[in-house]
Amino acid sequence: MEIKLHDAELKVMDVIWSEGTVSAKHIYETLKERFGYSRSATYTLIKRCIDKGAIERIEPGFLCEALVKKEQAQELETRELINKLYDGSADKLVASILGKRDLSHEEIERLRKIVKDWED
Amino acid sequence: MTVFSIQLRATLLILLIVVLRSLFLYKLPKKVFLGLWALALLRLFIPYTGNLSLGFSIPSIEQIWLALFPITNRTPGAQTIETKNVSAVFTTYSVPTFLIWIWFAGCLALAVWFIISHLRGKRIFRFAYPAESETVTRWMNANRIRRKVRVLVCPELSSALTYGVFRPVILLPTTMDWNDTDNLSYVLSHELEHIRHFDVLWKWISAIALSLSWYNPMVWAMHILLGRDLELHCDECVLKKQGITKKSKTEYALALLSLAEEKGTTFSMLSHFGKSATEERILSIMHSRYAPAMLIGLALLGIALLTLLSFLSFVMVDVVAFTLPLR
Repeated sequence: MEIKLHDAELKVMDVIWSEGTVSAKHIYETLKERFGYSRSATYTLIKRCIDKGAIERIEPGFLCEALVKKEQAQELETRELINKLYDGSADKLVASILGKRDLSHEEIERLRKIVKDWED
Repeated sequence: MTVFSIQLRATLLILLIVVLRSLFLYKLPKKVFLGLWALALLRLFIPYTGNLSLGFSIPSIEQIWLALFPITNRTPGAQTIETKNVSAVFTTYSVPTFLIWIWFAGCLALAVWFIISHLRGKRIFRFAYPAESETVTRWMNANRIRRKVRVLVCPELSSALTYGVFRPVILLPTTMDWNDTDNLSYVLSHELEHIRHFDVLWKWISAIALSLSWYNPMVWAMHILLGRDLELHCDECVLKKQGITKKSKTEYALALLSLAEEKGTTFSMLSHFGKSATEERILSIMHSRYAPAMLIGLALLGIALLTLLSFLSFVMVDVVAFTLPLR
């Protein structure tokens, strides 16, 4: 069974893979120390892993057991994310490096050619 | 009258900026256009038009408009007042209440739109963690500014961005190639320029202006083009720090294109009208040059002139706009 997890979800799994079945509280404390994640962020990630079938919740004490082995879990590619953040559009109040619209291969090649053939 | 005056003047100013931009975008330093956009924003926010007597009267833009599009009895919201002694009719105008409600609803809708997208971003930024890369650490030590800048890696991000005004954060996507020192440097330097110039603040101010003036299509144009010009300005600053040479321009442009490719491409059968924002950026980068001092002087003069024209009217105050026929 292959499961795709994104970067932050894999960090939760890493704790379980290296330390065995641990409590959610312990995962939160570890991630807080390592990455500064907030409580809500960690618990959201744990819930997502449970929803994806990567973790099983064991009571009492909210213990988290890994349902997949490390080799079975794959990192989700940015392309596959539903929640992908499009930056640089008119509604985004952030300053980004690239615009919202993805360019097509043809456009990128065309622009590359313009750059390479440029006569100053 | 004030809102009408502001919107009229701002509209003409923005229209002029759009025309100037289409003619001179690649020929002038981008700071010039930012100066113009700053003028447009000031015009939208400051409810004051001064009066300067020149000794002769030039009809104000408001008068010209009212001459072309006079308010008659039939205009909704117009009220005719007849006076008893004199056979003259005054028409006054006040905005009908239902239009004010529509305006208010529009403001609210836009404010909600901006706030929701801001919160959506924050939800994703929660999962960002400190970048562990020697290149990043080295770059941070070499590029200190007064404010503390954090560089984090964020999953679910497709390209680098920065947010925050007082404690700015640069977010890098997990797909970043940490071994590509040059690209990484370009990305970080570009975002640092955004931070240096408080571009995020510019965007917020523009968003507020848009929320208040949403019914004016030129203000939408301003918001979109301002965003683009903030980008172009950063590109220009990154190049200036390296020295503007054909080599540095080519390298930077190709770096941006490779980042766009990494971000993801779409298969598109549509042809595009006009230049895309990215094409504009690439062309702007390749056209970058050091502007002669004369040109910059002229541009500053132009901006000063536009400021005066936008904020002043030259009608002589003692000239009565209408005459009362006396019996």
